[in-house]
Amino acid sequence: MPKQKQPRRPWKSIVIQALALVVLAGVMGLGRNTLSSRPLPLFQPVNPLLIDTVGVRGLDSLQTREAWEKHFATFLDARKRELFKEGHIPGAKSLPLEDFDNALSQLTLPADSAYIIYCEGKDCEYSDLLAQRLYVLGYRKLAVFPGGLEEWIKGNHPVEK
Amino acid sequence: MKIYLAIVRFLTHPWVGLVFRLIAGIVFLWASYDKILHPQAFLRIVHNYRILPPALEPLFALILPWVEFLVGLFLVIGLFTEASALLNVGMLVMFLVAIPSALLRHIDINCGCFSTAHSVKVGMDLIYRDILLLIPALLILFFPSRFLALDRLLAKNKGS
Repeated sequence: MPKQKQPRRPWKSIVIQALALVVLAGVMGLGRNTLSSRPLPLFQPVNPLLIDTVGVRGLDSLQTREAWEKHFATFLDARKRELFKEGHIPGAKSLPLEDFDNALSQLTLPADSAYIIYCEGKDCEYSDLLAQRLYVLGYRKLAVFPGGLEEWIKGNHPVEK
Repeated sequence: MKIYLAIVRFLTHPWVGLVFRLIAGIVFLWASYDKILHPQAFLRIVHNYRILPPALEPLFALILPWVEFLVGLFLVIGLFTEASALLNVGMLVMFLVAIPSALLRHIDINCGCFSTAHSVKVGMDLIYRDILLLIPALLILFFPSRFLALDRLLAKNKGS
C-alpha cells in the first residue's frame, strides 16, 4: 500500500467542496453568458422554436452532404440575402427569415416536398425559426442542418456564389 | 485471495490512481469544451431529452459544461480530488439515468456527450461507456491518489 497515503477527508467536507465547485461553475457559466454577445435568456423556455420544432430533425454534415448529392431535398438558406450572395450551398434557395413572407411568395415551394434549412453555423437560430414558420404553414418534411455553412465549408464542400 | 489483494493493491497504487485521474479528467475536459463554446447548440440537445422543465433548461445548459470543465481540470491537477470525483460520479449517474430514459421513451436524439455537432445517437453503447467511466471515478473517490496532486502540496504546506 502507498506509504504517503493521507487520512481521508471527511465526507462532509467533500460534499461542501463539491457544492462549492458547482457554485463556481454556475458563476463561470452565467458570467460567460452575461458577457456573451448572444446570451441565452434565463428562466424562460428559450424561444418557442425549441418547443415547436421538436418534430424537425437535425442533420449532421454527412447526412446533409448525402442529401445534397442525391437531391433528396431542396436547401433553404435562412440568412440575409447579402450573405446568401456572398456564398451558399450550391442549389440552395434564399429564404431570409427577416423577409419571410415576401421571399416565400416569390419562391415556389410545394408543401409536400422535403427541405433542409441552414444558416451560418451552430449558434445561429435562423434555421430553427425558419423551420418553425414553415411548419406552421403546413410544411412537414423539414430538416435543419445545425452545422450550417461553417461546417459545410469546413468539410470542403463546394460553395456557390 | 492473493489475486484479490494484488488487484486491490494495483488499483490503489498512487501511479495507477494518477492514471485514473488523468483519464477521468481529460475525458471531462474534452466533453466540456464544445458545449462551453456552443451553449445554444447544447441547449437544443438538453431540450431534446425532454427531462427538465423547459424553464430550467437554459440554466442547466449553461452550468453543466462548466461543472464538467472544473471537475476535469481539478482531477488532472489533483485539487479537491474527492469533491471532483464525487461530482464526476454524480454526473455519470445522471447521464446513466438520462440516456436509458431517452431510449425507453424511443426518443431518437443526439447524445450531446462530447460534441454538439456530430450526431452520436443515444444508444446502448453509450450506457456501457458511462459504466466504464464510472470505474475510475469511483476508485478516485474512495482511494484518491495524491501522486502529483496539488492537494498533497497544500496539505504539506498546511502541516509544516
